[in-house]
Amino acid sequence: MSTLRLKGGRIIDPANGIDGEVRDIGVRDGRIVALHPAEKVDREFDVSGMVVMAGGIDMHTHIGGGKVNLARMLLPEDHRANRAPDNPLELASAGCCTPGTLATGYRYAEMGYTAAFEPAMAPSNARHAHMEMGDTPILDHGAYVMLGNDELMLRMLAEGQDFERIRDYVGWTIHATRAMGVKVVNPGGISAFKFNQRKLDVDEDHTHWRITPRQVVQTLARALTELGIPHPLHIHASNLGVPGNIGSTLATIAALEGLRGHLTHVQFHAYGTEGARKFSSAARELAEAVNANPNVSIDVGQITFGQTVTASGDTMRQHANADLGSPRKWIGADIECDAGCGIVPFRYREESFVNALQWAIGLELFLLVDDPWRVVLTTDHPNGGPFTSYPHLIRLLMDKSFRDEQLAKLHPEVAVNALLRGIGRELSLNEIAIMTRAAPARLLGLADRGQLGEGAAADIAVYREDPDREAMFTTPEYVFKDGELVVQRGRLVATPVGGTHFLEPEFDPAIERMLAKYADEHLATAWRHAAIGRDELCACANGGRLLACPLHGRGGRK
Amino acid sequence: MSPANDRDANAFRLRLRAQPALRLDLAGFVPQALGGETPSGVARRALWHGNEQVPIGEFFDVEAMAADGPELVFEGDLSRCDGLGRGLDGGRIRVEGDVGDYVGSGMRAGEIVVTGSAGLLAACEMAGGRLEVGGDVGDYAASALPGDMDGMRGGLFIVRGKAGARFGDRMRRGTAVVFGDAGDFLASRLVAGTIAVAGAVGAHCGYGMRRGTLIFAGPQPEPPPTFVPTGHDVQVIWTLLARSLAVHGGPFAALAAARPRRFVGDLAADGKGEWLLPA
Repeated sequence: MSTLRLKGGRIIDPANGIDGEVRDIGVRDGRIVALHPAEKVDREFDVSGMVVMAGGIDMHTHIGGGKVNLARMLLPEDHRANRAPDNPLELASAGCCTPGTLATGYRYAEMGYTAAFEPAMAPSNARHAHMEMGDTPILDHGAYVMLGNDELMLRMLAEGQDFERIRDYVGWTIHATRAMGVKVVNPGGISAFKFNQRKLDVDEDHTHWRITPRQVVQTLARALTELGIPHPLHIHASNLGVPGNIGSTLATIAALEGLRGHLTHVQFHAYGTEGARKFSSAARELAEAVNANPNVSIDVGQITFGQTVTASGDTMRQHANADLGSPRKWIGADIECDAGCGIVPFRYREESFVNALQWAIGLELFLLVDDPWRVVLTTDHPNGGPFTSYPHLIRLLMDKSFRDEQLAKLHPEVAVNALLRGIGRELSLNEIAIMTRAAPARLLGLADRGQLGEGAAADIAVYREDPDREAMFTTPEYVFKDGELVVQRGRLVATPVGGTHFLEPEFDPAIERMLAKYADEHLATAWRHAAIGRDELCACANGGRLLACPLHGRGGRK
Repeated sequence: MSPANDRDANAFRLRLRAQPALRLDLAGFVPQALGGETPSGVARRALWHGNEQVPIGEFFDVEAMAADGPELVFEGDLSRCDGLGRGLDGGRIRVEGDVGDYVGSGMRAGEIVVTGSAGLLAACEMAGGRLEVGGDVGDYAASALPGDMDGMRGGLFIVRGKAGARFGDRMRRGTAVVFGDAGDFLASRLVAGTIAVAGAVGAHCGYGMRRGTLIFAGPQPEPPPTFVPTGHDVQVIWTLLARSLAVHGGPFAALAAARPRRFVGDLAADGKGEWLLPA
């Protein structure tokens, strides 16, 4: 049994309605508890004058699985760009925009983050994704499994099979891959690409299966609702990056028909076609739609300037963007009957009109959506920029004059005309804590994370007050993971193994006969190896803890 | 060293005392970074020995030296010393002996002279300046680091001995001159730039060559089937090219008198690369 006390910190804990109250936080055996002020503790930390928050949670960051590894292999230059630091605790691992698993865990923890979720796990790659995340130290992790481009689901939809069977298939897939949710990427579009379609609008027919993205979104959102999956359908909408795609983004919101949905990296989906260059911000339209539809949450996918790599399941759009690659190389891959993958290295440039406008659109979205509980801070790492740019992004959101300074450096047409110029809002520490901790925890159904109430896991980040918010969030004074001190003054002092968050929804086992037959007829891999058992998950996760997440409503029977 | 000799200097002589057990990484030990330092200060500078940082004085005796500008002279068998002159941006480095891998990689200006032989990836991604190797160079000289898109992109690279395989792979600018034989895949995937070779060449010369120029001053290789002869009169450019190569002497001294045959290829790639066969 070990106890510790953080004494005199300023607590920012929006999940419990606490904004700046000065009080102590007690921890016993990795959980937050109420300790009597006179009670002796094993270690006491004087954090007076410092800001205390729950550990950060990144709910959309590409940190494990096939395409992440391909991105690493495509860019050895990224791994030459830095040299292993002098901390003897760190094992060799390098990379800036595609860091190795170890460096990923180290760099996240050094910013006060304690959990990260891989948003695009192909079912056939689930083992690989879990193993890479298991190899990522300190952070708890989980993944959303990709559906909606797999030939089986599209065929079931095309054949008009009973919704219940599709729902059971979705439930089985989440259970078998030990996922935390379902992501749909360019609904139906990755499959349509294989049938030579180069774009697919929300109400456009898939040329082979004769189904539309609207049907795919609706079916999956309904299935997740009925299965009681806490995280709403994670939607990478149609037409990513295409000027004028605001139409398909709004149509996707409409397709939900009031069911919950999480639109991801919306910065890439909020483009109009106004102006001489036929490329404009549609941030206002999208923000209005999000404000008007309480069933919708978003993460932004902010871009930051410099070298990065875009890694996506969206083969259709990555193929279209391949010529923009910098350096000039890319990978496109098909994943057998399952999904796709495209890797295009990219350098966002301040002097580029398009990139400058993308930057402004992302910030506009952060600032125009009223309810911070439905906006999550992401760069869609590494697609908009590496996660290490979060402290910089936080400063942009909290400091209007700094934001204006940065805006003035960009392409002159954007610097002068951007909607962003007229937005005076500066986010508070409380709002930042919501967007980086409390909201992602709530959107994922993690009751005991992202907050500092009694009984919560002691994932805690302590920051020294600094008017330069970038400096403040770059170097936390202390970071605790499950009550263990892992970072002190921005430097790692321990590297424990993180846990795996996952779901085990119920489904009618009769579906397994159909799945086995399908796999037998169409897939190269044997169906009996598809499901990852709990023991195997534990082995994949490097012996880390298994954090089975409770389900909602009637699906929640355990 | 007596304190009286431990004065600030611009130029240093570093004598290797004993072979290091592991590879030494000399990247960053460039004359401009050490200008104004004392010999004992140089000896205290840390460098990587395998996974460990150690002072350079553990391996080298350092003394100041009179010179016109920033200069480093290394003596001994430095074949376990990698990255010498990486990113060099001015000044001179001289190695009296052999040197390890990556010598002059990414150098932009200045001069490096190695009297012995160099290891792998010499002059890789070199962008400017002059690099001369008196002996042989290993594989991937004047090429790109693994995964990178562009090889040597500027400057002058002279090899007095033999070159290994993949010399000039993905090279896109600059001039490389090889006095000896070259290994397999000479000028593979060449994007642009000029390579002149006086010895024999290995298999698959010019494989995937897109543009750029290859000059064969010695044995005349048989162009592969994906290269075709052109009937162009190249006498004007040849006169200029031959004159620029003549300064290197030896087999390159008398090229101007020849009337070269010209082939273009690799037609399997872009097909705009040229072979000039003067004999």
